[in-house]
Amino acid sequence: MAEIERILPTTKVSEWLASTITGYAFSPAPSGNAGYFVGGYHGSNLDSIDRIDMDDDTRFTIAATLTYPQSQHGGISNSGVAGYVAGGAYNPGSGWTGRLDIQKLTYDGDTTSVISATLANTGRRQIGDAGMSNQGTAGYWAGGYST
Amino acid sequence: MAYQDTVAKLTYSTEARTVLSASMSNDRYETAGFSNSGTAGYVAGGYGTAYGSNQGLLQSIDKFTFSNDSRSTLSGVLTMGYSNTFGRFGCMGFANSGTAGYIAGGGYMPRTDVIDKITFSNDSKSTLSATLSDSTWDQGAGWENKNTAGYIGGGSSHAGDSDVIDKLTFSNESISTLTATLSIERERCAGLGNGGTY
Repeated sequence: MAEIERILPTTKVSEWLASTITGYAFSPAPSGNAGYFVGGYHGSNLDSIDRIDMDDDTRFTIAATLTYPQSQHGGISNSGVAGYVAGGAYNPGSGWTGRLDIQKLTYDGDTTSVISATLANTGRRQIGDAGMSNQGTAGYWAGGYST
Repeated sequence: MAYQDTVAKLTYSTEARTVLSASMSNDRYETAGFSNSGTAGYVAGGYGTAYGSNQGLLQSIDKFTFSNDSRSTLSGVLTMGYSNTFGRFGCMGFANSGTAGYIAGGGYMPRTDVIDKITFSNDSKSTLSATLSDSTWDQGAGWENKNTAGYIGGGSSHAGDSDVIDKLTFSNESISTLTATLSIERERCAGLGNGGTY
């Protein structure tokens, strides 16, 4: 976008930024509620995160990724604040090793981080879709198996 | 390797993890979880060492009451999977909090497209007439837009890993399939819903 266009009052800042930043170094905010599909496996473990914007049911792949490609993890969500995925497996081919860490997706800005707490004393995988959440208070992961 | 019956709890305000003293009724993995926020969480099905008539594939549904983190087991069980013989694992769970929870797909050779419903007011189980667009297991993920719809995506269908996203509209419990797909087929993924005020 030429600089002269930028000064036009009808040009949105977001459009100007999108044309000047290659490949989206940021994730556009959803217009309303959203849900996320995190990691998984397709030939190899995945670290990417797809977001579904529920106002129009469109899919966007956010810029942030998991720390490691992984699958078999479980998710819990504190709606409006952040979601967490824990356990899971990585490094297929040399043994499916259970993970200990808990990764956090902060909804404001769609950023990921690893929190200091861990899931348990041993890594767990195949937790499955076993997360439960008491919104604003606590989330729970049930079962899986340790490695 | 050891199957687990324990439940880990993450307190949101401190991000501290504890383990409940109450455990599940069976050790199990690849269960489906869903929540009636403020009241209780549920885990359904899975695979464990309870090697009986269900060959380790479980039908049972455990309930964890949030006020005291205690566990009970519902009298209702999941609809059977293969040949009406086995339970189901690799299911996907989500809920319309305050109203009902849903357990979709899962099974074992072959997969199922069945969606079971737990009505929170009396913890009764029923089965929807609507089904998934394809029989799916291997832990896709489910989450919800409160009072509006639940979304189920990924997993593994007969054709292989899936990029399909199904939507269950809560008002009439009908299934539709989104035009949008996942960016890549994803089995054994995790789901997170940022879907409304609780």
